[in-house]
Amino acid sequence: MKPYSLATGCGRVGYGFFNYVIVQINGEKKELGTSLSVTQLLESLGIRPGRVVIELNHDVLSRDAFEDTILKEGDTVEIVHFVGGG
Amino acid sequence: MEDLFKLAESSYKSRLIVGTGKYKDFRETQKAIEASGAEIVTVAVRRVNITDPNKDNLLDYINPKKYTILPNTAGCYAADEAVRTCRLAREAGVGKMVKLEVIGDERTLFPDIPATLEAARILIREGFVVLPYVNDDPVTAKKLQEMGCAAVMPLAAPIGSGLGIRNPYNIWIILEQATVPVIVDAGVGTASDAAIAMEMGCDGVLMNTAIAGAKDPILMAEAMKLAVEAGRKAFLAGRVPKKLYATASSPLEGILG
Repeated sequence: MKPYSLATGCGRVGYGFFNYVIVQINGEKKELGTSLSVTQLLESLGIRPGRVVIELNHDVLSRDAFEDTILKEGDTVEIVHFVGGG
Repeated sequence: MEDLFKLAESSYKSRLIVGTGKYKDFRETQKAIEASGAEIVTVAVRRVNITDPNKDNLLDYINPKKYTILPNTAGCYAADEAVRTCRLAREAGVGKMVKLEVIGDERTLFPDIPATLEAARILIREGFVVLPYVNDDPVTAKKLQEMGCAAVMPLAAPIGSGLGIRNPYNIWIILEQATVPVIVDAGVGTASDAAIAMEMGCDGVLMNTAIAGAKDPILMAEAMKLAVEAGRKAFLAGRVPKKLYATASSPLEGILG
């Protein structure tokens, strides 16, 4: 499985041909297929939703909203979890 | 009567709080925590590695149903970063208790006090149960308890330094004025350091490096468990006063002439 849907290389945002959006995920720019929900993003990344917390554009995204939240051009997503710490 | 450690709304049997950082792997983390007898376990909040997300998760080894998970704000250098981290941690569904630390200096990892106070104020307003890491400053400790923090957590010595309690007199003053539990957090090196904190009357001890960094972490975890228990019992029992000269332990009467 590809970690995310790559653009097929036509057009730029605003030209009408585009079929991808550019989103920042954990500090890295990624091209995602359009109409991708947060649930689908996690699935494509192979991340179990139950063990992570998502921040979308600096606000915590409630787990109930994963399904219905569609990622848009320019969104900043942080996917965090608990790690060992003191 | 059972001596329980009351913290916020909960009661615990163990007065030792342990971190989960710096272990070889999650298996070792799990074994050390078990050996420590701790019921409260600190964790950090970090980005998932999205290029290799299929690694095990800490919570697969530290069951949140069995342990109270205490997320920290380690690595935060500003109040808003710490608040942001706590909001994310709360969404993970492990409760509203957080270990607040806002670092002021990279080399000493001493706290930034104005930022800690600011973050504590915001977090309390948002309903968090705040356990702040502070230096051994009685004035700051007092401000934090008056503000509504559920405990104050003065450092014994710099994080990871293993120096033990550097300023017992300040810790005594903090204890004397305390209206909330006092937990010595950071700087413990070995079992006697933990025992001393407890003998002084601290309510608990929080440590990570002293266990995880030992040659045998699991054995050290057990040593710390016993040290905290021994120190607590000695405190409750009430030690004898220190004196300059001897007092014989055997009767002076009936000595052979």
